[in-house]
Amino acid sequence: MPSFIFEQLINGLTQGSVYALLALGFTLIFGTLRMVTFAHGEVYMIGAYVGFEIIRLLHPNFLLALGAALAATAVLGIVVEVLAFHFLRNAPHATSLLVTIGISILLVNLAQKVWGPETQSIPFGLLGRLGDFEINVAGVYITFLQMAVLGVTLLLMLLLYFVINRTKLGMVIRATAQDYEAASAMGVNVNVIYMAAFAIGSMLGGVAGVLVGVYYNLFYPTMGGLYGLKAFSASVVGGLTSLPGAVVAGLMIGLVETFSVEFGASNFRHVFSFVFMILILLLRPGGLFGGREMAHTRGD
Amino acid sequence: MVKKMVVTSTLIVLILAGASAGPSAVQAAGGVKIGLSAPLTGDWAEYGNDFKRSVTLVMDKINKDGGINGKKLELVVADSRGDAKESVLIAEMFVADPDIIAQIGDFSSSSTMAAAPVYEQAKMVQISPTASHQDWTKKGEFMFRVVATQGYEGPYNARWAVNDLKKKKIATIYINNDWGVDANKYFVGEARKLGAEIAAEEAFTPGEKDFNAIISKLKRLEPDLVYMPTFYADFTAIMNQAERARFKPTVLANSSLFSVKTLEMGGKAVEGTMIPVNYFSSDPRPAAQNFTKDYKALYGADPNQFAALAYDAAGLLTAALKAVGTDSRAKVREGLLGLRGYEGATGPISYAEGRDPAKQLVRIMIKDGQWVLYKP
Repeated sequence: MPSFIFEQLINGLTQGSVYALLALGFTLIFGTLRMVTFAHGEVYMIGAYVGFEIIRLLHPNFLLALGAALAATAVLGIVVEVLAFHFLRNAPHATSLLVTIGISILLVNLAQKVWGPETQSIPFGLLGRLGDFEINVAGVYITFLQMAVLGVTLLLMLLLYFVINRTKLGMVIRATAQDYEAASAMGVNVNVIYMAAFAIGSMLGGVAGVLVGVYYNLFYPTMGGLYGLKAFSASVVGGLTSLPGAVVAGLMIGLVETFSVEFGASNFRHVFSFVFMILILLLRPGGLFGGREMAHTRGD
Repeated sequence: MVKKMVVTSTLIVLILAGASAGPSAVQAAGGVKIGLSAPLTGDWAEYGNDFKRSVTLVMDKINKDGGINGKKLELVVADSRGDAKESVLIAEMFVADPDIIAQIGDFSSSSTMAAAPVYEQAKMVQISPTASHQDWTKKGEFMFRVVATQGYEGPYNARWAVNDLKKKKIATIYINNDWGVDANKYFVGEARKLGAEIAAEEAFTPGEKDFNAIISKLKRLEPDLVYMPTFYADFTAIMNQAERARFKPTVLANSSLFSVKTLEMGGKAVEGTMIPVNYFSSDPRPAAQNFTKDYKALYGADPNQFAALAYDAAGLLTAALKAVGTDSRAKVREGLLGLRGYEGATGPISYAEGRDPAKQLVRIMIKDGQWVLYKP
């Protein structure tokens, strides 16, 4: 394999991992609540800024930044759930949808107020202390941050898979997803499960935010916009309720984008990735893994 | 019912009063307003605030000296956020205010061009310090620019790259908007004419932050020089990602990068970057020196070329107002066209030959984390 192909493969996988992480959040939330949140990209942005502040003000440690972002976005996720869904459980779906759009606008403006509208970066001295090593694979340098993005993403995917399929919490989440009335009748506190799903989904978003923010070293209030859209698309392509589907679709979109630059024209990269998604949906309207995993069988 | 009628009639009276007050407002107010449309928030906020600082500097000075024909100048600032749609709304707001005699702005060609028809219809001068898209001033009779156009800067850069630096294999990375497409086109056209090979032309969408794919591709193509019509946020992201990928090309870019932000966010990744500028603080010409001194005295920092261009836009506009008075929007245009021998902070400017001035550019580069005069 020529080294430039390998280099682009790493580029594409790094990019795709981030889409996958965010898409997992969308999928978990949609799979459980059967509702879409449009504030996910902004939760991701807040996660990034929390990591940024920890590194800048407290201590340049990657894990510490990730931990703080996890905690902050878990709380934020619960707040979004309560504001947009908890009190509107019996309202039409569109109402919750609009509230999440409202929250996303609010968060962007809040970030502009707190951190300013311009792009910020971690000073180079601090950035270097996060981990400054790289490995050389066949002439291609893979940096610590690229490894961190790939590694953390892989770890979280496995962890989420384990939680959903092998733990009691996961079982309860799956039960709620399948039929919340039946789950409720069996003694499951559905409201808590919804909050848990939102918290976990948002944490994935928060981690993605820190990873991307530090990887590109760019933090700006609108950073969630394009990523949120891409991740939502990945989630749809993956089948909306399938966790492996979200991961596979996210990675595929990252790779398609990267290789469309290598072999085509860079100004068409988004065209290629969205055309790819439309093609998949034409061939498989239910998405890649549609109708499996966290599938919902409520009889309404 | 009675209450409702009272409210309604009060409203009618108010509306009538407003309508009759409207046309005479210019005389009644005793002042003249100038509109400034610029991105004060968003990715280009730094540039918009440069505009605001310089225009304020010019106006304060004129007001201190007694205003224009005894009338004080007032600045109306509106934030276009770098959004073309927003600048159209601002244009409509400015045009509807009878006290506003002329407009300075916007920053980007996209925003400036979108708003042009509104100003043209109202016969209000639209003078942009920085919009460099060729077609903008052709959109009507009231568009004036201060900066050298891409039709001038692009070929100038191509001659620098091919004739002076002797680079034969060139790649470009440009921002995919009106300005970037133009900047790329004029450079590439002239470079080809001079015999250079264009190995790749890569565009990116505004807002895109991942440049790894483009960088890996260019690394493989091994160009002698990479030309990058971009702004600091994107440019520094590209250079930082390139450094990580062990790609260190010779870089030539545009005057758009001339900001301290490029140095702060680029670090050592941007060392050696070459750009042409309209204004440089060590420029020995007296008009440039005076501007530098006044700006520093007021704001405590060195101005950049955006500040200098905005300073000249405000200077030209007020010089025109002094010449033709402040009673008609349309006359401001004649005032600008009639100016002769105007010495600006960015060199001599005259609109005698048209509303696009030809400018002298200064070559600078980044060395040891500073902008310095370029030496071959």
